[in-house]
Amino acid sequence: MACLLIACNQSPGLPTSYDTEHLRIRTELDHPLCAGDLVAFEQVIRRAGDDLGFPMEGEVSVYIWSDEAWPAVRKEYCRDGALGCTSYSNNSIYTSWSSVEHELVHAAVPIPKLPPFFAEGLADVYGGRQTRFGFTAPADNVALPETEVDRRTARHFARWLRETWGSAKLGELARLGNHAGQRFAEVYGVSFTEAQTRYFAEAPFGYPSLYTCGGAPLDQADDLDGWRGVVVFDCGAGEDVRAYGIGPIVRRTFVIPVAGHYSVSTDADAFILSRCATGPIEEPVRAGEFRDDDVPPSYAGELSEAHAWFERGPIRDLYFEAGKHEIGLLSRGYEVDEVALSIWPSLGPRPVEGAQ
Amino acid sequence: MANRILLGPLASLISLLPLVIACSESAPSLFVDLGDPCRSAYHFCLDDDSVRACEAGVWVERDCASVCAELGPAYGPVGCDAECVCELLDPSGCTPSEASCLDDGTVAVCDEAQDLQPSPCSTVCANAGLSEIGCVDHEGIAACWCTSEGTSCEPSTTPKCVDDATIAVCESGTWTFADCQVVCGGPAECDPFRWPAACDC
Repeated sequence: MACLLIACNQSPGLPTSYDTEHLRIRTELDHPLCAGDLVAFEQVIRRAGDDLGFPMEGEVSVYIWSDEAWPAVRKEYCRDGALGCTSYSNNSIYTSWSSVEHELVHAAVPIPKLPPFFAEGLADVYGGRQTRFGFTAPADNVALPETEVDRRTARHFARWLRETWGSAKLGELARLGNHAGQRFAEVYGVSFTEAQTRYFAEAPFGYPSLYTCGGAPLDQADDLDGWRGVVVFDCGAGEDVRAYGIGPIVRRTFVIPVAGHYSVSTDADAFILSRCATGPIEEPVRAGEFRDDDVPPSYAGELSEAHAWFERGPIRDLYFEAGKHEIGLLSRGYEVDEVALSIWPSLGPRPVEGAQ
Repeated sequence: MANRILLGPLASLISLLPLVIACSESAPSLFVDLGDPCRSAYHFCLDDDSVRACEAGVWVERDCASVCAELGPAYGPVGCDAECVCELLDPSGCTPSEASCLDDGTVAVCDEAQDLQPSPCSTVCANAGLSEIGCVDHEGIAACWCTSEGTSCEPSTTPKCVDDATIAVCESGTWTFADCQVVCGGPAECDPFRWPAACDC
């Protein structure tokens, strides 16, 4: 949310600091930020800025509290109920850990009077949220205050505009600020109502996150007919290492050529697996629809992506559909560590479909 | 054996509706009327015999008889409880698409007419290029279990771990499984991180 009326000129004295090209970050978290978090934060503002035509100038102060600590300090900086807010008057973000990326987009698109329907939709989309077709009409939301906007519709409509007409027009629309709703046709060549009619007819059930499956590809191992890799958990230096609660996570991707059982082995403390969404999600998803899958599709989740969680253990034979997948390796604790990973077609006993 | 299908929980969907919509005079109206746009896998009861269903992006009315018919001829409607409730016409019969083990070497899949269609696991496994283990009911799901042991392999194929205790070696063009404890003559595990995999004696 944009912070307009609240005492935004305060500079919280948070204990831990990190600096990036555009961000002066101060945190009060129960874990460090890793090098990959700083890279990801810069990526968010760069992606939003480049896509929408708002090159980042100057620096932004970012104050981050843990989700647990946030409710106690929220009222000092943001409206009641907000997960974070952005002050354009002093280039500052005050936010809970969960809402950092969302607020970074607000900072990267500094149009204070942009209607909340567009501002919050853009911030959710470029902040990495998945989107779903909502339960209300965009036209019924466009003039509403932030607290009353149907965010589901706001983010899905914003994403649909981006996918249908491109991000440059979305940036043009944002630059109209307070007039984005009334002067919609100047940018898109159709009225807002006409665009809404097309949205109702054509928009898919959902879109995956803009950042889905961004992990580096695993090295193929010809001797395994699979993949093998070594991952270093160096929170302070590894640009692919991100904080994930009590320890860091490193993500890698691989493409399963043929559906079937594959063996997965790692000495990481835990790992998560998901099948990557590769485009718009056309078929509506039911809650729990993929509950029994060894490896669920990332779009099985609502706002955040879904995954299966596995604790450290024996070699696991898991069923994979064909397609791109992502594995996240986790370590408990932030000391530098190194783990190995191997994935290969299963050879041992496994169930086989085919008796139909 | 499940013989009653309630088409889905709605609580999670309802929880997604922004609370503000319910308590604000200026809040936008919800898409709940027939003809409104939608993208949903859920149905909503209109009365005891019909639901609001999302088809081709629009809410339409469907009678539960047609909804249950989509599950196959074995099901009929018995009312609406959040969504259409479809029950098996013959509750004593099997549940369509469920599998069961007829014996150690035969799996049977219940077809749409509630008739069991048996298949020998030897055939199921052979069709997959694998060796038969047998029909296994694992965590309530019956299926033919098969293995690569005894199947052909390229002689140049390197060893691979089968599980933590077993290594697969391609010997004379056939996958042969060996217990690492036997290979090592003592406590040992298969190490999948080695290149190639090997028993860690």
